Amino acid sequence: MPTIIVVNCSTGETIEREMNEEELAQHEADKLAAETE
Amino acid sequence: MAISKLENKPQWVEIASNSPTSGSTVSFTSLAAYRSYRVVGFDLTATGSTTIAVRFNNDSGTNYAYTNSRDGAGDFSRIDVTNGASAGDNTFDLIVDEAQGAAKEITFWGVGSNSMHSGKGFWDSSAAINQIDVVLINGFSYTFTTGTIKVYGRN
Repeated sequence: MPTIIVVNCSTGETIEREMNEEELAQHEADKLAAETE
Repeated sequence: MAISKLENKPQWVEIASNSPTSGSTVSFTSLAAYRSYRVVGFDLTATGSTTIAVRFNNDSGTNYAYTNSRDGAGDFSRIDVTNGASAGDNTFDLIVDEAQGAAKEITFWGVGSNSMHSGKGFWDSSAAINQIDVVLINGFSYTFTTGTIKVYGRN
């Protein structure tokens, strides 16, 4: 599962988590775009 | 104008920094309001050849209108700032001016092992910028391995 690093610039907290449904859909769309460009 | 006037120019303030060794996206969230932002990537590498792109506020619509020395001109779903092989160092510098206004002016350059990018354009959104994402665009789910990304603000 692709992951995303989230840096909260307000709190300074950094976490790495699995992409949520929306982020994963965008990630797949980007992959498709990269394959066709 | 005397050169000394430049000393009064507002300085860039570092907002955040990250040195990713994994992940396909680095997302800088909850940004404080600044008139200008600067995103700089130093010596970024990935697990495979990839394009590095920048988005604002998680907007993946074709709202980024810009010229790019590599891609020509048009409306895109992101701003491609470098393209490089896995072992190549990708370095870029992107500045957003009038970040709280109706037209965000974007200027950038980037160097990857596969190409050089430079361009100027706009992000077509009236929303204040509160999130900047640095994204690996590739067909193989590559991830970051080394390098550093910094975000600066200036009023």
